[in-house]
Amino acid sequence: MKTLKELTWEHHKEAERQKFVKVLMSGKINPEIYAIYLANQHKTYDVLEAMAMADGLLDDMPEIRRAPRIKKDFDELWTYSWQPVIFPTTEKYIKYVAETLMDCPEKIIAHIYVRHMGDLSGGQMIMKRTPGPNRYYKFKHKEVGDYKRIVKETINTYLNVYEHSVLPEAKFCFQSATNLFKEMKELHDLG
Amino acid sequence: MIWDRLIKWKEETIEVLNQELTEYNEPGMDRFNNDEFGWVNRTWKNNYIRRAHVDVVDVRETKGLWMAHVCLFPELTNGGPIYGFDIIAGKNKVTGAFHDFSPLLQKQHPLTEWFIEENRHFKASKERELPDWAKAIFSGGMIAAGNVTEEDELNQICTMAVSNLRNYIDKIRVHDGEAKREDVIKAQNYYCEHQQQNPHTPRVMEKLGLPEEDIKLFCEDNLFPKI
Repeated sequence: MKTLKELTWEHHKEAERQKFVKVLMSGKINPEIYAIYLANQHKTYDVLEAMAMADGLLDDMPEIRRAPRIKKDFDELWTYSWQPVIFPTTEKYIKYVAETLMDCPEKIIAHIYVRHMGDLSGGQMIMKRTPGPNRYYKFKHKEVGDYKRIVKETINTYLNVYEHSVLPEAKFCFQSATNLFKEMKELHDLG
Repeated sequence: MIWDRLIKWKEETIEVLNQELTEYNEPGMDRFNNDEFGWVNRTWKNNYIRRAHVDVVDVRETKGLWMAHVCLFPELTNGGPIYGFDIIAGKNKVTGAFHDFSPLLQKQHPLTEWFIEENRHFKASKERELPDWAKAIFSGGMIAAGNVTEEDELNQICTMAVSNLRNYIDKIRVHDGEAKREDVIKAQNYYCEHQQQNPHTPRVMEKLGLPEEDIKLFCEDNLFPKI
C-alpha cells in the first residue's frame, strides 16, 4: 500500500512550486507581506489546533501547537492599527474546518500531517530566510523527530478510512495552501 | 428599553466572539436551534478556549420573556476560571443577572482576582441570595442581581459583561499550559456537575415554552457538558 506521502506527492509538489514559496525562500520578503501571511496562517492554525485538541490528538505532542507562536511573530512584525487582509482561501478553510471537522480525528490528523509535518520539515529551511523572531518554525531538537513519528503513527491508526477520509482531507489541505500562496503572490506583486 | 439593551448586549457579545474565536458546529446542537421556539445555540473555540457557548431564548412575543446564557471554558491545560453570564428578563425588569469568573483549581486565581477587583465598584440594587450548589463553584466577587428596572443599572451590567468578555479572552491565554490536563478535567467536570444541580434551569426553560424532552437532553448534554 502506498503511503500518504506518495499518494499526495503531486499536490505537495504543486504547493511547493508556487512563486510565493520562492519569495519566502528568497531572504528578501517584505516584513509587512510576511506579517499578512502570518495573520492568515494564525487564523488557520488556531481553529485547526483547537479541533485537534478537542479530540486529544495533540496530547502526546503539546508543543507542536503553532498558533500561539505564529501570533507572537505576527504581533512583533505588524505595526499598524488596522487588521491585515484575510484572504478568501483562509476564510473558506476556516469555515470548512469549523463546520465539518468537529469529532472527526481521522480527518483532522490529515490536516496536521500537511501543515505541522511541513513545519517540522521544510519549515526548518524557511525560518532561516524569513523576518522576525520565527517562533513559528522553532521546535526543540528532540521534538522534530518525535513529533514526525507520532503524526505518522497516528495517521497509520486510520488505515481503514484512508481512501475516503485521510487522503481527500490531505489533498484539500494542500490545495488550500496552494491557493493561499497564489493569493499572497498577487498581493506581493502589487508592491 | 430592557429588551433593546439586552439585544444590543447580545450583538456586542457575538461580535467579540466572532472577532477573537471561530464559530464551529457542535454535533447534536442542531436540535437546539429552533426558530419555532425562538431558541438559538451557537458555539465558538480557539487555541485557548475550548468552548464558548451562547444560548438565547427569545420568546418576547409569545411569553413576554427573554433569556441568555454565555459560558466560556478554557482549554484543558489551562487552570484559569470559567467565564459565565446569565440573564433573564421580562418586558419591564430583569429578574436575574449572574456573572462570574468562576475559579477552578485555585480559588485565588489571578484572573478571578482581576475580575473581583475590576468589578468591585458595582453594587446591585437588589442582590440575589445564592443557593449552596452555587456558592460551591462561584467566586467571592460573583455578581448576582435581581429585579433590575433602572436603565443605568442594566447598562452597567451589560457593559461589564462585554468588557469582561474581551478581557477574559485576552488574559486567559497567559495561563495556557499552567495546569495538568487531568486536574482541569476534574475541576471543569465539578463545575458542570454543580451547574447541573440548578433546579431553576429546567423550570425556566419550561416556562419559556421549550419542549420537555429537549430540555432534559439539553441540560444534560449541551448546557454544561462534562468531559
